[in-house]
Amino acid sequence: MTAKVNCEINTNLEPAKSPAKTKVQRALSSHAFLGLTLSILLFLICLSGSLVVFFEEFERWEQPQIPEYSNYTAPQLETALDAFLDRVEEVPESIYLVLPTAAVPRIHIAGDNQEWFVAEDGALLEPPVEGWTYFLKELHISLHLPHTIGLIIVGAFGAMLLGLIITGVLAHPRIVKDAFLWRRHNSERLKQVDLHNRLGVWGIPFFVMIALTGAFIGLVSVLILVTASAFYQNDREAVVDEVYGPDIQVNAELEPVNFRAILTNFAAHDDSASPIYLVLQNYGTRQQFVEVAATLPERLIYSEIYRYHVNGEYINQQGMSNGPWGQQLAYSVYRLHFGHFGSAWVKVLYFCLGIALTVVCVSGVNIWLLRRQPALFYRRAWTAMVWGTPMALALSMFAIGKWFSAGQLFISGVALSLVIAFCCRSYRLSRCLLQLITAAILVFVVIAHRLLFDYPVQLDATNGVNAGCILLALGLVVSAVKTLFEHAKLAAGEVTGAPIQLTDS
Amino acid sequence: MSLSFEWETLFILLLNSLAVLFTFWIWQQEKQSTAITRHPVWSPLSLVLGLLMLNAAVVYLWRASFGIEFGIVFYFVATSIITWLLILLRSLRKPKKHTKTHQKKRSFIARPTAQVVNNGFWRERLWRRCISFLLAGPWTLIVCLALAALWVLMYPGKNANALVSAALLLPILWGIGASWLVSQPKRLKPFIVSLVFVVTMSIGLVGGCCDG
Repeated sequence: MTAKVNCEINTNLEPAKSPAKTKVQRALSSHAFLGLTLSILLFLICLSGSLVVFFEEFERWEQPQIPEYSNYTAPQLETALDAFLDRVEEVPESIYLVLPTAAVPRIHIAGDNQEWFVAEDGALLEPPVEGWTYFLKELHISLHLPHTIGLIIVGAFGAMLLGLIITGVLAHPRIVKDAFLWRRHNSERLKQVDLHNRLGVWGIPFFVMIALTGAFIGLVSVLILVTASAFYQNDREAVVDEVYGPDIQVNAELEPVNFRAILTNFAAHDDSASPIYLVLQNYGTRQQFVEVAATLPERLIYSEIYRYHVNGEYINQQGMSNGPWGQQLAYSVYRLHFGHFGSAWVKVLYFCLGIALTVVCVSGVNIWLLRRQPALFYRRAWTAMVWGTPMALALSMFAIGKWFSAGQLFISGVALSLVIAFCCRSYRLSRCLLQLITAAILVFVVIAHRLLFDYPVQLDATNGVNAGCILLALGLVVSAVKTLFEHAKLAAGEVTGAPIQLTDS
Repeated sequence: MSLSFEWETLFILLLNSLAVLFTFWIWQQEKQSTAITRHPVWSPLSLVLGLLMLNAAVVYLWRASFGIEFGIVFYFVATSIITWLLILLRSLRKPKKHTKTHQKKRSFIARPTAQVVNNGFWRERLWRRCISFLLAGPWTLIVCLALAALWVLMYPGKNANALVSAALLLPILWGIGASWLVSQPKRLKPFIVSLVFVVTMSIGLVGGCCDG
């Protein structure tokens, strides 16, 4: 019976070319199936990913009382190392001394999950907090699942995003004809279709790059597992060494670490490289040596690693910048995915493009909702998801006060958004309300931040994040007011009997 | 990381915008009745060549200023954002009246089309969707892992290159495989073919490992 009805409708539309589905229809159904199945988590990954671009700035914003400086000295590093060794119970195999950079002008020393910031005189300060930024990063990287499983799942979403991009292109026969069209003054469905297609098509290079690098980061552990069991007698370390190069074996007299000699020799060896961290390997043993990781100009690799004896004598470099292309590519993936290269403008651009991908994800579901016109439940649930998640994320920023954890606040925000979405008369009103609440929360977060911490008003990351919050709040208020006007117009239309689109009833 | 801006970058951005505008102009000419194929001055080939050369110049300038790696990323990112801005600016213009009636007609036609596609899609039973999900997800991953292992085995170059190219190939194959499998009306045949492939690969790999 249903097949008959389908057939009848189909003949009303256009003559069927063949009984089988056309390639475009197949691609479209595949795109719809994958898109709808993955939409909620994909939205969460894209939104959190767009924000995670600024994780360094957020970390600085969360602890604005930590002193910031760009210069450091060898005695300062020696003092910090001594203080670190006094504080830890057992000497870690690898001790990290993370140096100040333009993005994070702070020093911290770490090893075996113990970490402290370092003052300008080398004394240890407080440890970095695992607050809101940590919550945001974990949400993006592993969806707060057990780390490896979460990483693989997020990686799988990257692979599926690649599939969605390919089917999206195949399902779009008017890709050239409509290349610059956005019919905003037409029906809501056409507006959403054009938004989805234009953002999707012109963003393809960036979206492919993000999906591929994300999938690489997430799924590489699965491939290591398979190749290790197939070709390396289950030795996963051997597979990793094959790509990144093995650790070196040193056997030398026990000596204290001479930071001055290491830094001087490093500067003489390669003056274009900027050191970002030092690693003291096997400290206090005859196998001890120091690795200096440094960024190279105009290179996407995370760092080149230069090895030194503790007395400052140069050993070799790992070959991240001049090794096989596979090694260079594998080490470039991180910066390429997170936009941590070039100037701060790159982060801003990555944020914009990440939000565009989020909008593509949202508009895809919107198209389905508008076409299908399903039960009101779906529309309300999707509104709660789309506008409730930013609200919940904004609410979780109150974790700076340490009254509640970011996770607790986020869950409360999600619950609140569901209540709002299901209690409002229309989803448009609930969207408007959620936007206004998010804006209010953002303003209160900035006020709370200023009350909790004492810091000067200047052009830095902390004030930049606060300014970003205020700007976002303003944008949300403008959007909410616009929605209210539209709602009022629709209500007027309802009274006069004019056709109404997108009402809940 | 400062937010400073250089004039050189601004110049490249302007040239990049020019390349986007040129693409848009060609698209508009093609869309209007004065198709470029009948243009008295420009031949289609010269326009395409001009567009390619302009874009090549932009890529060259990005590369010269920021290096090949940053330059290519900046070119794509800038092109996307400039095009979106152009589309946004274009959409702000109020449409002419005659398009309204045309679009009204279109939306009238489009509505039942949507119902047909979606009805067909959502009428599938839950178990069928679950099977589709399992086939597109875990099963395709297994097949792609077998293919990636085969790639590592057959790759003629250095092991590091083999492993990294396999790691990049894996998500591409998985994405394509999953979407292809979901788009098939009958999924039994692809499943059997992939099953035979995976079993053969597993036997081959286990045999190879046993041989040492």
